[in-house]
Amino acid sequence: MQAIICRFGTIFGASPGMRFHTAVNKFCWQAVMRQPLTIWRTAYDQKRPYLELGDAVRAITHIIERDLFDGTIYNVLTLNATVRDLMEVIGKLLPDINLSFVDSPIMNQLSYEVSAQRFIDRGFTFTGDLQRGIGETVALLKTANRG
Amino acid sequence: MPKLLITGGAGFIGANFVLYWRRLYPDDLIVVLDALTYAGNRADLDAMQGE
Repeated sequence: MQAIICRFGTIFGASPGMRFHTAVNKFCWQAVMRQPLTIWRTAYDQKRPYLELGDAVRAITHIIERDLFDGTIYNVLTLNATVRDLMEVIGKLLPDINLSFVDSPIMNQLSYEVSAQRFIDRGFTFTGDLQRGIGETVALLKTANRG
Repeated sequence: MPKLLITGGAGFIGANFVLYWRRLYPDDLIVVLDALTYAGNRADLDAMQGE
C-alpha cells in the first residue's frame, strides 16, 4: 500500500462550522466571551507547532494532486509559536483579555520547535498567518456573540 | 470521472477540504463517510446541498 504520514500542527482558523477544542480557537472563544484565559505559567513560553486550516486543506490537496504517497513522514505546520505569542496577537484585538495563570506543574515541560522543511522541499508553500487566522476567528465569534 | 472517498469529511478539517476540492474540481465525484460523532456536522457541508 502506498501511504504518507503527516504530522499536523495544532489546527487553528475560522470555518463555517467552528471547532474550539484546540488552543488558538479556544483562547479566541474565551476572549470574545470575556472569560478568563487559563494558562499554565510554566507553559507560557513553550513553543508548539500550529497549522492554519487553509494550509491544512491545501496540504492534503498538494499530496493528492502530486500522488505524493511516498512512505515518508512529513511535519505540516504553518508556524511554531508560544502561548505568549498567541496572547500578544489576541491582546491586540481584544485589549481587555483576562489571563488567569495556573502555577501547578504540568506533565509536559518540553518546548519544541518543528521544521516543515521536508514538506516545503516537496514544493509546498505555507501561506497561513497567525494574525490573520486569529483576526478572522475573533471577527466570526463577535458576529455570533451579537445574537 | 475521478472519485474521492473522504473519511471524516464532515469534520473541521474534512469539510473544509471537501468544499475546497469541490471548488477546484467540480466534476469529481466525492463520497463523504463520517461517523458524525463529536466533531462531524452535516451542516458544515450545507454549501453542497443539492449537488
